[in-house]
Amino acid sequence: MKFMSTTALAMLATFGLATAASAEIKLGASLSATGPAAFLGDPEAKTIEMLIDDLNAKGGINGEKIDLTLYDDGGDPNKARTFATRLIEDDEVVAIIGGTTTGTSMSILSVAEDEGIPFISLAGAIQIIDPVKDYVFKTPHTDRMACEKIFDNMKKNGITRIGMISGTDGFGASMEAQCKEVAGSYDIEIIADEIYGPSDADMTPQLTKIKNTEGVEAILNPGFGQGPAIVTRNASQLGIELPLYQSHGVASDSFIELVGPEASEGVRLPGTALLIADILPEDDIQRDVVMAYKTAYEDKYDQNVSTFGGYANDAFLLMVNAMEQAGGEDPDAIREALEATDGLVGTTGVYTMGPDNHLGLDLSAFRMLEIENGGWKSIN
Amino acid sequence: MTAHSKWIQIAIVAALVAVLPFFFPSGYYYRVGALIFVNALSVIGLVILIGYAGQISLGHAGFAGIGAYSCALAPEYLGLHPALAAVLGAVISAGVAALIGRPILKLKGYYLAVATLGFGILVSLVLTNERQLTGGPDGMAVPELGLRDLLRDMGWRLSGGEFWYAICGIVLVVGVWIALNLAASPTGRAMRALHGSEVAARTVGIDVARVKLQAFMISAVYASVAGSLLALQNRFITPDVAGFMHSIEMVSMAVLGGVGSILGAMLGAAILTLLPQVLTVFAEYEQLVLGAIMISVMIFLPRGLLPSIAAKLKGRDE
Amino acid sequence: MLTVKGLRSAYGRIEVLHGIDLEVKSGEIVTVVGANGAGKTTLLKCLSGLQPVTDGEMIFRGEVMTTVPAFRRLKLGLAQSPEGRQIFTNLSVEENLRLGAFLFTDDRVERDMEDAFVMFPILKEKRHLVAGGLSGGQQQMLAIARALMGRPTCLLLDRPSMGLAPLLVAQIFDVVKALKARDVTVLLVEQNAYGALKIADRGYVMETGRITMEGPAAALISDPQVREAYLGI
Repeated sequence: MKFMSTTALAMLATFGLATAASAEIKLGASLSATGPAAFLGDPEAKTIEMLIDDLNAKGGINGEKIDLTLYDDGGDPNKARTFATRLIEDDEVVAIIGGTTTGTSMSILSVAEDEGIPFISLAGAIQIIDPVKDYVFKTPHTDRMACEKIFDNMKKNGITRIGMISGTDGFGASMEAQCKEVAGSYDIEIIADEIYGPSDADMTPQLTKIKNTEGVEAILNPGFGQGPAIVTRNASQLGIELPLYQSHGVASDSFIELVGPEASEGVRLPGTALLIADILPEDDIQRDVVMAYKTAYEDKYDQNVSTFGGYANDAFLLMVNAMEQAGGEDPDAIREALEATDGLVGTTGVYTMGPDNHLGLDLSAFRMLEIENGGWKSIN
Repeated sequence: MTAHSKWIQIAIVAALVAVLPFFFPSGYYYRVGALIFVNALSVIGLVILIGYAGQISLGHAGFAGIGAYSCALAPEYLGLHPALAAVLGAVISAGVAALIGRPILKLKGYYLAVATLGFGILVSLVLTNERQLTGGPDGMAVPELGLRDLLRDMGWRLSGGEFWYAICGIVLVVGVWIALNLAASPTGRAMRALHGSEVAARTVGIDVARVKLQAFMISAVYASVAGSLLALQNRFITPDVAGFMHSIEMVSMAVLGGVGSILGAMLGAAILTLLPQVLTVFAEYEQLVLGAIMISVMIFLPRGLLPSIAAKLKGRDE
Repeated sequence: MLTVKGLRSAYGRIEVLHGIDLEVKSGEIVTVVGANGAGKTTLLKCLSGLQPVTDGEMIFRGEVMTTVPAFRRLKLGLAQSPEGRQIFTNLSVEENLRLGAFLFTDDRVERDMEDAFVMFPILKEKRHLVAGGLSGGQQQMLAIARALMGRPTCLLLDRPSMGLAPLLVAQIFDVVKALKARDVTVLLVEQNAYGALKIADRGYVMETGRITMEGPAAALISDPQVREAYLGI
């Protein structure tokens, strides 16, 4: 107690003008650290906690430390809304990071919007920032961008007629729809179209149909979890020579482990710089940020980094940058500063926001990768 | 139940709803209060079904889902006002309950539990898979009720939290009033009678199948209205509302508080709504603590918190 | 009033009633006696609609009732006080009585209840208590009182004396006898053959799903065969 009051006196003396009132910036987070979306929320929560500790150890923002209140909404949108209310009304935070899933994000955003508190979502769906809402931003690229990146690559390789095999899970179905919407603008024609359920264990019949469709030049598999791994293995077993495109949903080392290096050889997918941190060229603009995050996270948690943790890392960078620019903890000033973000380098891409763009990423955020000898190769 | 105790119970609920806000340190408590009221409402529905009529349902979240998605879908596709959409949801829920209740209420015990479980999962699957219509697992937005703006125009400024606290509180008091009146009515007596003995119920002229169906339909409407209130106040809805876990949560609340008692059920709803909020500090142990509480109550207070405690107190008085 | 012709019934594939013929005239007390497992309760369940009939028919006040569901029979005037005192243990005595009058909403319900209280003063004393807390004899009285609340013209009584102390058994039989004065026809199934035959006008003896003897109660009570087999004399 005595030590603390001495410290407080010392701090008062140091900063002179500091008042006894809140000398900390209150930041809130509601993430799905447990529940069905825990594989997303857990690395996100760990990332935020790690970054806060680091920042506070370095003295915080403009001399003010950040006081994080983090809740685990378990992926339940109803809980997420309650926690958002609690963060704003009870904990009196000035900004919120969170919303691991689209559902939780949509629940949080209406509270944030009503109360005028800036909110950065970590979920994929485009509807979070389209139409643009004053106080709502997000860091992950959208499924549509992933489709565009894939089609862009197909076009470069002279592929125009493809077969699609999509998972019916939330991710797969959403991406399937997005891809079909943008296929036309890349002159891609979908001439075979198959689906599989989340618990299907064999996709040989669907793949055989695609294989036997006259003129198919490549296969695209929007999906998540086990499905794409089975598709990849089945395709290899059937001896399908066509290029196989997977989605960013399986852009992780564990995908290669799951499928095996032989069957996964040659699979192409859009991923982030984080995934190929080790092979990024020295002059890559994202290299420093990506390596910093990867090293810190892996040292601290003894666990591989994931794209999802990267989303949280970027949200945190955006938020800290905006708070520094805003020079305080006024929510409206932070919002203004977030919207004015220009060229901020994150692990997912380089963010440049604007009044009509609250995502701020373009296609360059994605790197087109190919699996080679059980590792990643950039084929941009 | 005497008329006397009926009015006492309604007065207790109404007084709690009205007085609690004076003790709220911040706007967040209105939100928690509103959630407790919504949960209590669906749990009262289960008291009617389980406590009165003695029929189990592990799929009532399905009706909450129908109520919730009516408020999202009907305004968008039929141009209906959200309040009317909630009414439509209740009507659809009652209709669906009538349709599926006829065959499945012939089942008893585990079989009925599994059949209702199947119904709940079916609704949740439809909501998840009909992506074009419902937005799939990502959910869909629900339009603003508009009543709050109307009140503001009349010079009555309420925050979102206060407004929904009031609305849910009022609906809850009405729900309690209806449930207590039902208990004292011939139909309610018939429900409780068939719970005691179906054979005897038939011999006094009760159409057992019909009364079971009535209980099922009424409880479905309660769950549906609760789902609508949730959707309208959250302004966004996902298929989680119809999920299996939500059904289990409802039954747990009812059983924890005391499935034969309206006030007990509300206590159960309050405890299981509040606990996760209190336990955020030990988020990792939340499920563990909840499980331990449920098991302890079932072992030591098998009739549920309120009836068991009331019985103990009475025992001491005598 | 009640005519049963060739009634058969089975549990699964095992037939337990092999063609019962039986007649109850208006105003009579008729009893069916017999050993345990003779099929008496099954017969009564068939009559009240709780047990499906496989063959034969049942005519009540000129109407064929064989397939009428149980809950409709009370409305037609046929009440039952089922086996094992099936009262609603979780409800109060008064609620039990009101459920007996479930079909009626008129003022007579209150009067009927007062009548029941006159007949069974103990029930008035305990009217607000939970029925499960009553003694065996009181529960049996409640079961009969509840059946009477349905204003039956004919009452089917299943073993009302079962499990009761001798003093209470006599009391219950007195009550049944008194029903005659209220113009209620009674079909009484009993284990206690002596007590039942003493208050009945006519009787049937049942053995393994068949009627083996019938006749005026007084004649049966003095029949040597009956005396030996059922009265233990």
